[in-house]
Amino acid sequence: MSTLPRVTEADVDRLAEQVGLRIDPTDRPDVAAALAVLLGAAQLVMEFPLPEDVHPAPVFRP
Amino acid sequence: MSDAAMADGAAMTAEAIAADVRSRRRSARDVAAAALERIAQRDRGLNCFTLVRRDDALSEAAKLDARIAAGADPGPLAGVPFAAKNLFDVAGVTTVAGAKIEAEGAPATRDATAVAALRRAGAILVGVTNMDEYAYGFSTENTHHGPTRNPHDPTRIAGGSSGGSAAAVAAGLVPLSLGTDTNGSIRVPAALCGIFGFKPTFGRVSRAGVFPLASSFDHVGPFARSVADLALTFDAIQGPDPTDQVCAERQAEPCVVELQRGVAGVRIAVAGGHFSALASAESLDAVARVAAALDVTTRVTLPEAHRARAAAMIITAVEAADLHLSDLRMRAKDFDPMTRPRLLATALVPAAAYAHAQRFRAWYRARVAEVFRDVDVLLAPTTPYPAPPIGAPSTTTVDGVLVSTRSHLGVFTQPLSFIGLPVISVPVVTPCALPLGVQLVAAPFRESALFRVAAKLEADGVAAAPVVSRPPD
Repeated sequence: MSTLPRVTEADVDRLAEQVGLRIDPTDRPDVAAALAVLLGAAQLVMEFPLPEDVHPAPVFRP
Repeated sequence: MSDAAMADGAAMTAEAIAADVRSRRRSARDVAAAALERIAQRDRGLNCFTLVRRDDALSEAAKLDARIAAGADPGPLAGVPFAAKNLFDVAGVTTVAGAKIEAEGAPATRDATAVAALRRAGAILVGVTNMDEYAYGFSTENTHHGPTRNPHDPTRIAGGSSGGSAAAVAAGLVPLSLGTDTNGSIRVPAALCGIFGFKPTFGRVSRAGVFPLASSFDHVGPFARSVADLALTFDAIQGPDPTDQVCAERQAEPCVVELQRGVAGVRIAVAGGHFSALASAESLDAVARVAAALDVTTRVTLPEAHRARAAAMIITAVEAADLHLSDLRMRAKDFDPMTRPRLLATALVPAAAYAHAQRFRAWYRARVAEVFRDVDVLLAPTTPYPAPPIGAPSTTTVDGVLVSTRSHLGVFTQPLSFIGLPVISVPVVTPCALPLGVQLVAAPFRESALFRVAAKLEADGVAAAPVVSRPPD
């Protein structure tokens, strides 16, 4: 947990506005903490290089 | 088990109850009445149930008795009382999903496929159970309904999100129940409550009529206090279902018949690496004892399992956001304060992370398939520590590292459900200590190997789930 990204309440407000969410001021610290955990996970996933031929799409068969 | 537990049938297995009811040694109505009495006596202290179907259960049991008297086959689970997480549709009951918002909805008009299957097999649904709101948690500390208490220590959580279903089985209120598992929501409460919990292969059991959390990972499965009951329940609910788009077309492969086969020829290994770090000594010791009982010395590593867990978190978050964004915009205050900040955060995750997580999933699935070329069953801890206290601080320290008390409960379950692997969590017997579980993990659609190993551990006394008859304080 010590390496989690820093997320401020202002960050939460800015991102929330982009998806049409209005977050109550009393919730902002907890949302920032939860978002830091998710962004830490996102960073761990994104930094892993994947070959171009790895596809998430399902396979269709007749 | 205590004399009291024996006397009122609390300790009876589903298998024994069904044998009694089928042979008319005991009526299904008497069995249902006894279960309802246990619930009336003990559930005020445990808070497993959000709704008890007292009159309907008694009426349905009486009808079953009449069918048996008329010579009809009542099914393999004849007269067995069971409970379902309040995430499953039950005709005439509102699917609340632990949420105030859903409590406003109309009652379901038909049963979820898995509930209907158990009823066709003769089981009697006595009620629906408590859970984390929208199944997004590992603790069942639900603010709307109150926390479910662990029968082994009522000051502690039952685990989640299927906490009510697990605690009801552990306390002997019912011999079986249904739960769902997206990231560990069957396995975590099974381990913390000291019972068997089974998450079948993704697609093996229909999810039709089940409120979703994250479609990529949502699974349905049973809880029980014996391996035979777990297998009986699984056999009743597994198989294709055209009303569930992701249910596999693969035919059912019964597992009750596997229980006497033993483990000869089953290749077993301990999962190391990620699965041996950031856990209490007791959790790792439980794995060591299971490995010793099975004479297992081989260790294998699932590559990048820590990253698999992170990817599972991202995919779950984004798919949950897709489901709940509208309500989060319109009525955030109606969400449980235990889930609201985390659900609000799900809507703010960058889209590229989701796409990369899904691609990583394809890569990881291929790497784990390579491991299963040489191994049939893996052993791993279910949770990193026993049940924390209800209302515990949000962080705790494991091995000198600060972790989130509740979300870290899924550290060993998430990398497995991430790729749909079948897993049984077996309760490892430790006298005078809080329960812990060990995961038995197989390749997709290889559930039979899991049941063979679980049956061996139960027969040898390494895994057991005695009824907790202690009344809550």
